[in-house]
Amino acid sequence: MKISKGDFVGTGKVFRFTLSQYVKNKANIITFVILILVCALCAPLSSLMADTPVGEPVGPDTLYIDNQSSVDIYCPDETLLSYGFTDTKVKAFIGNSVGERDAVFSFFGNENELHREITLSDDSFFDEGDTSALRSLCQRVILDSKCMALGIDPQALTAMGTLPEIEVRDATQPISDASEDASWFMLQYIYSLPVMMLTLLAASYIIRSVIEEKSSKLVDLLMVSVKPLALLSGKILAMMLAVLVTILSMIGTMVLSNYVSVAYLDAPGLGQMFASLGVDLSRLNFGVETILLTVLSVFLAYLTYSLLAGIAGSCCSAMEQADSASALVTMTVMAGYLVSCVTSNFSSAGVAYFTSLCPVISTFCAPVQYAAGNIPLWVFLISILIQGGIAYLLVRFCAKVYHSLIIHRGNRVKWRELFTIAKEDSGK
Amino acid sequence: MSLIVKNLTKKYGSKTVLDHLSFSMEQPGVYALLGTNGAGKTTAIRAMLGMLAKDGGEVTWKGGVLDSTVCNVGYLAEERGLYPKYTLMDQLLYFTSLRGVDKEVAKKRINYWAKRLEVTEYLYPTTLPNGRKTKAKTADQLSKGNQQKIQFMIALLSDPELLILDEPLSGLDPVNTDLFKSVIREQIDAGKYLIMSSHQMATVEEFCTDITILHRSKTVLQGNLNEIKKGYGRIHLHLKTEADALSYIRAAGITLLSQVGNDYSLKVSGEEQANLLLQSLVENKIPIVTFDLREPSLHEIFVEKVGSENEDL
Repeated sequence: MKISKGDFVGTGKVFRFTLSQYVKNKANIITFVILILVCALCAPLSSLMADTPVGEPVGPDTLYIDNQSSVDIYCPDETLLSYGFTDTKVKAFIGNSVGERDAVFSFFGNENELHREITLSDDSFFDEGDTSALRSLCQRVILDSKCMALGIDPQALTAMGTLPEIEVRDATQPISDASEDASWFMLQYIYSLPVMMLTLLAASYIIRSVIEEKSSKLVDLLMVSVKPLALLSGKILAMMLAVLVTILSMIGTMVLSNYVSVAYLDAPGLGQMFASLGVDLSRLNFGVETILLTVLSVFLAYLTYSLLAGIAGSCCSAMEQADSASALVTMTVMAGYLVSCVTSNFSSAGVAYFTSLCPVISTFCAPVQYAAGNIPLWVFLISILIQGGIAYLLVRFCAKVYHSLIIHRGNRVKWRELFTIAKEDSGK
Repeated sequence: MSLIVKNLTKKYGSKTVLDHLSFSMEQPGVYALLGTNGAGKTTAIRAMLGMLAKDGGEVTWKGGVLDSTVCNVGYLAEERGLYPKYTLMDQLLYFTSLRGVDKEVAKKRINYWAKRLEVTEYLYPTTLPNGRKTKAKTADQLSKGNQQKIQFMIALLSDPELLILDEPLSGLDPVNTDLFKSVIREQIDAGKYLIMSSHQMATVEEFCTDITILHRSKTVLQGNLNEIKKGYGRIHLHLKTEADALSYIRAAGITLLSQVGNDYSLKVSGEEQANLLLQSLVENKIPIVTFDLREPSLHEIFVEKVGSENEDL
């Protein structure tokens, strides 16, 4: 079956009606208001309820310097003050016992090959945000010391090249290299969560909307005036817009709420919050092309999952079948989400390429992998091309099966049967 | 020819559910699609309107393929549906907009048909004696009959050239049945083409000029209703007497179809056999209340055509 312009006549009218009824629905209004309120209140409430201001790093009482290298370590009070460590005292490490509020910076080797470690006590008081600040301070101390050794003013630090790797570990067990991976995990998590919410919420609304029409026995009446594909497109696009506006409103409210909290409640800004989670935004590839391609990638994934939801809904005849119909879409989205979170812990190039190109997973992974610099631009572009191809094939598949599914009554059509329907249609 | 249905065929897998249906409508009027449950009437309508992919045949309207773009079709589907939680006015405006009717024109038509079908109070908010305004009703707040009126309105609002009514009177009380009949009559008088599918033979006889009877997906009888009846001849005799006349009926060799007391429904071979019975009754001084020799009703033709096969099932 070929798709023609005529198949979409009336899409706009179906879209407007579906959207207007969604907006008029009291349950939807109440849900929206609750979501916005939660988003608006989360930043100020977490700020007010926190024992110490979130994201404001706590410095050690005593910072021991265990210098086993040939380089003189340079750590003046100004450096400590620039990290907000106003009460920290610097002492040389001579086998002292390390208190819960103390930290040890150990240095080995020479100026060409420096090894460093940060050691904390077993029952360390410091949280992830604090250790992140300690890592940063240690890095600064090394660079300053290196500069001094080379006779360069430490102020010229910014002109120096690549930053050295930092290790942080407690008194008994070194913290592994996974601390770097953990930051990618957080970034992956922060990106994937709204994408997952967007796709799952839209899928749920679309499935229910399509089943509502079928169970209301209105299809015969509608199909006198509008083609099945226009009916499906109108519904899907309306629900996509409604859910997109809801999610964007939630994100917008959270950002606004955060700005207000920063201004009036001395709460940490978004950058500080990300830093406290181990995500260094300055290290990301945040160009215009990243944003545009990410938006395109998310849109294609959104369209793909919404089309799947439309087909899943049209396989049903009654609202009781909605849960089983949404299972496949939910499982697919969850699979993509979980795989993206798990694989973000692996810093292998192969994993980065695979997750960026594999359909279902790629929408969750490719933008983060590109932003992290793990894949080049052409891989990201191929990933989007693959997603676009899948969305196009799904539209074709919808055109083949939807006119048969829309008037179907009785048991839920299984996904396997759909291919039989599509094959029969191709034969005509 | 305005409407031509030619060899319309529909299959589900290997099962044929509509087998080479053909008929046409030259002039405005009412065409009846009759048949037992599952005979293929609704499938035929759906295939005609393009809701189902055809496995064969074609449907044309004034020379072009029947489509919502070439013909303004109004359809009252067998499966009655409305969005349960949306207001009726929203739904009516939506359906008219899908048919390309201007919003202002649609509002005027809705107002007209709401009055005509006596549903105004459900469409518009009304003011209560205490001054408070009621909300416009949603579909789930209406009785089944009133929902059917709204669905009939939807079919009529685009002022269709071709009106397809699938079981239009089922489930209606006598008052609303008369109301619907009067609207159907108005549409016929306005020169509309109507296709009606119904199990109520009396209604079909009242409106339809041409019929097709479907049975197990096949056409078993087709043509002008009057000519079909004439073809059968006057062979049905309704006899009512004040005394037992069974022995005279048997003596005349007449087939007894049914009997309630002294009220007999008989099938004769022709007028001669009927006259012989009449003569016999008069000679034996049996008081006659009714002696009505007539053509078979549509109900009787229908039962004769499809009933015997159903009994075999």
